Amino acid sequence: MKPLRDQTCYEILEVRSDATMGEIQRAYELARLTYGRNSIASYSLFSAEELMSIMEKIDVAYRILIDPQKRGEYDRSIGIILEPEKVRSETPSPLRGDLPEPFCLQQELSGKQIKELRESFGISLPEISERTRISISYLVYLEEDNLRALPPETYLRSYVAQYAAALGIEPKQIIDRYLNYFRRTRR
Amino acid sequence: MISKNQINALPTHPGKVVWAVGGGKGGTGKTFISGSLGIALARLGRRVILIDADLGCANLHTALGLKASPMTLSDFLNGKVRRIDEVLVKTDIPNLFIISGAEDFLEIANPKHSQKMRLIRQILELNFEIILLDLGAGTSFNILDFFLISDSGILTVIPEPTSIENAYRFIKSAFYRRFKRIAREPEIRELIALAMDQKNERGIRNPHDLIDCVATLNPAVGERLQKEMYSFRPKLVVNQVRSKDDITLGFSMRSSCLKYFGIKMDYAGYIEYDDRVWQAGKRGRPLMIEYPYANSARCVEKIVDNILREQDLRFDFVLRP
Repeated sequence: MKPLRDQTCYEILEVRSDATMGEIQRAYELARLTYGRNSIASYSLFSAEELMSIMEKIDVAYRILIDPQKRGEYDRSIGIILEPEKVRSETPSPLRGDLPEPFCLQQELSGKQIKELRESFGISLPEISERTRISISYLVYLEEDNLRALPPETYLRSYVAQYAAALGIEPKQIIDRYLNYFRRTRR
Repeated sequence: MISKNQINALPTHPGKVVWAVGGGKGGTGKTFISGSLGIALARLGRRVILIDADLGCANLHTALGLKASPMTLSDFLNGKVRRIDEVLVKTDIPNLFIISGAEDFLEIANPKHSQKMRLIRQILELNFEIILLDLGAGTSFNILDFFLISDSGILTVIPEPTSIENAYRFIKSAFYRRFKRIAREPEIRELIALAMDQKNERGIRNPHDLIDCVATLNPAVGERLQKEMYSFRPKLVVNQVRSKDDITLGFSMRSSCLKYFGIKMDYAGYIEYDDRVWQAGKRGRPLMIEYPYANSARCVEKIVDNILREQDLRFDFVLRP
């Protein structure tokens, strides 16, 4: 382990160089908690000045890594080359909005495909559950296409809408496609 | 002090591992956790020997709901019996054996070097799959030495500032004891002793500074210390968690250790605060037997699973939704 001053942004935030936006965001929130004021985890190891200096480095690293363009430039500057597809698949910023390819080209979207979409964003199921307050078991039924276990359509529609919002996708784009799938396969 | 050569000369058995539960502060649940891990492991079919290495303050047998054994570690340390297996007792739980601790003599709490070496050698010779040591509180050399012979050194903390401070102090002491063990040169040993004092005049704030300092004096030793530092990988258990913040604390401590000591600490798991631990304790029964389906008991099983698989907890939840 190199001293902090020689560490890369990834090392400072303790994430891998292929970390998704979601992972970077989570690492940053944890770091703020760990090295921020009133943290019982760090005060006995670091002085107040050291904590401030760590926090500054974490802020700088976060601002670079959370911005796809800056991150790309940074990666090139330290010699990290990611395959273009990989970079494109991680676009989970709160501003996302549109359903990405190939999902947007389809008329139908199954639960399994929604799961694929979620995983491509690097967002965990517990996280969706936290954001939507929908119990994990329902989310699992949804993702596994366990149609019998799912609630009636009215409720389901609302679940899927919340799920989509938690992914940062304009809900209608997912609801319509999912209900197409749901109505056809339920019969 | 135990030298590296002495440790290397000790017999090793393939497929046998030593776990030690320590962590500085008293009252963090070391004995409860040792006993519970022992039961959970025995239930998985592992042959387990639990050893109460809390010399002078032994009560692991009570935590397991057993009466004081007729023979304890003091009989071995006093030389009343020659072999440590003579003080070993079978418990009611299949696969689980115990060596009760010495609780009678004051001098037992501070065994002579030769006594300690004899104890460690015979412990490592015991024919079990898992040797689980319940260590006492504090950072005395005896405790650190037992911690350092283990394959998995488990640190227990509760989510309180004093407990966390002591856990860090424990890691630091274990580190510097290990450093001293490999550095023979007097000037370097002096530097290590100096570094233990946080306000030392050389401005050594953390192990990185110390290694830098040593490396300027003697690059070869600096390199050895660095290697030693990376091979030290304690495991963390947060006990008595009451909230998500308490669980998160383990991740924060893992991060702080990485930034400060430069070591990877594995967050093996946490145990939920549970009145049933206290209820079982009051009845003199182990939690794992009395309430095997309690959340706290499940947490113990998860910890065992993580340690056996050499995994640690993943930070994958949202802090502020």
